Amino acid sequence: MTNAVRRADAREQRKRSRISDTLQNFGIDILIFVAFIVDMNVRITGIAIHEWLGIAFGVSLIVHLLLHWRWISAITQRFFRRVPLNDRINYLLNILLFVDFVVLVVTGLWISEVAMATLGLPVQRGFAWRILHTLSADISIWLIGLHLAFNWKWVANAAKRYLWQPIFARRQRTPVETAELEGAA
Amino acid sequence: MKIVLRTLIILAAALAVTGALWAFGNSSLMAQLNLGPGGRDRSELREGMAFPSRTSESADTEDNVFRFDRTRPDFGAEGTRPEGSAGAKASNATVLSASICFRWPPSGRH
Repeated sequence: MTNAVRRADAREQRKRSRISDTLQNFGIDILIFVAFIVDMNVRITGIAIHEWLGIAFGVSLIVHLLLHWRWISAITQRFFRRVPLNDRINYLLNILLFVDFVVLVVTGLWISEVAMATLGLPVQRGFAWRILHTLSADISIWLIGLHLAFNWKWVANAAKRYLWQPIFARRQRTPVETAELEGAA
Repeated sequence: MKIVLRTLIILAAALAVTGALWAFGNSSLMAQLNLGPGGRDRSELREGMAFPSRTSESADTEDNVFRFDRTRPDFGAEGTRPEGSAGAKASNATVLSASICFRWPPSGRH
C-alpha cells in the first residue's frame, strides 16, 4: 500500500468517525437555546447562576457565529449584489440580534452583582443600564423568535434527522432487526 | 489561525457595539434616564432599597417610600402601598416609572 493510499484511507476513516457539521451545530444550538430560556428566568436560577450562565451564553454566541462563519462570510461578500430577499432579511435580522445580545451581555456585566465581584472587576452600576438590560432582554425574545422562524427549515430537518428518526426508527425495529444491526456494526 | 482571526473579528464587532453603548452612557439621555421624576439620582438604586418619592423632603415614612423589590409577587400591585395617602399620591409618578421599567412583563424577568 502506497503512502498516498494510506493517507486517503486514514482521511476517509476520520471523515466517517467525525460528527457531522449539522449534528454539531444542532447540538450547540439546542444548548444555547436551553441556556437562553433558563437564563431568562432569574427567579428560578437566582442572580448568581443568571450571571454566570449569561457570561457562558456570551461565549457560546461566539462559538455559534464561528460555526456559521461560511454563511456569514458568503452573505457579507454578496450583500450588495444578488442575494435572495430571504437571506438579506435574515442577515439584517442577525445583525440586529448580534447588537442586541452584545448590549444584553455587556449591560449585564455592568450591573453584575456577583460575577464581576468574584472576578474582582469594578462595575459601574446604573439605573439606565438596568433599563437597557431589561429592554434588550425583551427585544431578544422577539428577535430569537424571528431568527428561529427564518431558519425553521434547517431546524426542522435537523430535528427530524437527529431526534425524530433515531427515536422512531429504533421503536419500529423488531428485536431481531436490532440484534442484526448491532451485529453488523 | 483562521479561527483566531474570525474570533478577533467577532470581538471587534462586539467591542464596537460596546463602544457605542459606552458613548451613549456618557450622553445626556443617560443622565435623564438615571434621574427620577423628582430629579433624584437613581443610578445607585438597587433592589431592596427604598425608592425616594417626589416629596423627598419629608421623612421616609411608609407613606412616601416605595419598596423597590421586584422579587415580591405583589410588586407594583394595587394595595401594596397606602392608597389615598398624601405620600402615595405624590409617589405615583415614581411608582409608575418603576413599574413600567421593571414590572413588564409580569413574569418578572431580569
